[in-house]
Amino acid sequence: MTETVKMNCEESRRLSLLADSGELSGGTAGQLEAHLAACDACRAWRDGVRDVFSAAKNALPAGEPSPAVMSRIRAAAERRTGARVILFRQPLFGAIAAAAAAVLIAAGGWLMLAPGKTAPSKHVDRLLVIAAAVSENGVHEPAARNGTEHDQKLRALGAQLLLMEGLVAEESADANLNGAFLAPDA
Amino acid sequence: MEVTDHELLSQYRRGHVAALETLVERHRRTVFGFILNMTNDYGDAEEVFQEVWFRVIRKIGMYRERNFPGWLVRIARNIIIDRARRRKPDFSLDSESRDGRSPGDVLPGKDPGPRARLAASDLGRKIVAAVAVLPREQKEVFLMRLRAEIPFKEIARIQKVSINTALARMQYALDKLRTLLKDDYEGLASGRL
Repeated sequence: MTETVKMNCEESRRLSLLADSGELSGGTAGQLEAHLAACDACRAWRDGVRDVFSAAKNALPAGEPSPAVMSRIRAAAERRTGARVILFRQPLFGAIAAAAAAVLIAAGGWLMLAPGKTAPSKHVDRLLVIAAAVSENGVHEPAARNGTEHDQKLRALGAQLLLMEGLVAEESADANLNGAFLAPDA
Repeated sequence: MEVTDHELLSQYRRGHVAALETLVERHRRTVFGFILNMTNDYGDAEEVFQEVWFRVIRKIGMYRERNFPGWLVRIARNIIIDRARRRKPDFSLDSESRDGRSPGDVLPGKDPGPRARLAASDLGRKIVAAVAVLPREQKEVFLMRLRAEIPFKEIARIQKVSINTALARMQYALDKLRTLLKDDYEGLASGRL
């Protein structure tokens, strides 16, 4: 075996692993096949590790979790989903939303709202996120889940509150409301 | 056509608990197999498995991965490492079960046939022992491939190494197993298991 072939052997063994995991592209796969066809040592190595791999698959204990564990996971999943579904129906949510609105309005007035002016949209957006974060943290989960249905509803709630306080134009609030409650089931 | 993991996750986010149950069922054997072979202890494996799914449920809103099994294995790996750090020297990733039984004795698996026969054989016990003494990083790569069929590209991301390093670890693991099992190699090669 020449020095060049030895170097290729090292590479071919790693490529063989990639080929077995389905991660080798066509061109490289062809080069590997060409090498294996010419190199008995690499072919023997590949066959050998396949045998070891297959034997280990059968020899190592597999098993499965007990029904008790599966039940606890199912219960946790139900609790979590239940918390989300009833979130908007709970009196607690109303109280937290009111607190969020207070923060929102105070922050809005302090940050950038001059009397008689409409808030710039980027600031309104930031305030809506603040309202969502306050509400969400107060209920059950960290914030920063932008784009989810839950997040949209919180933003819509914030928009409603801003609208009630006359801090945003009606179109802006409507956009948030429509995004949250009309799609995708409407 | 089978519903994808991604779609099931979306369904669960919309409140369908059954979607999560399907996911747990779908990945139960592979994830539990990985955890069991990493910890070598059935009780530990159950605790880790449960914690994996608790974390999935808690963090499902933050899920951004493309490979869901890879995410599960990544969480499992983190939990196993955390537990090993907390429990040293009582708990070791590179040794046999804490109660002194070999992993093969802990849970031979429910299905009879070739698997059970091999696990109960001398060769089966040798394989179990040989895998148990692999360095942790090599054992991780080996078991991620063996149990969960995680692609090397994903394994590299989980271990935060280059794909060449992940491949090298697999190669070392397989070479060590071949060496440790060389006396039985004829049996492996001929399928006489």
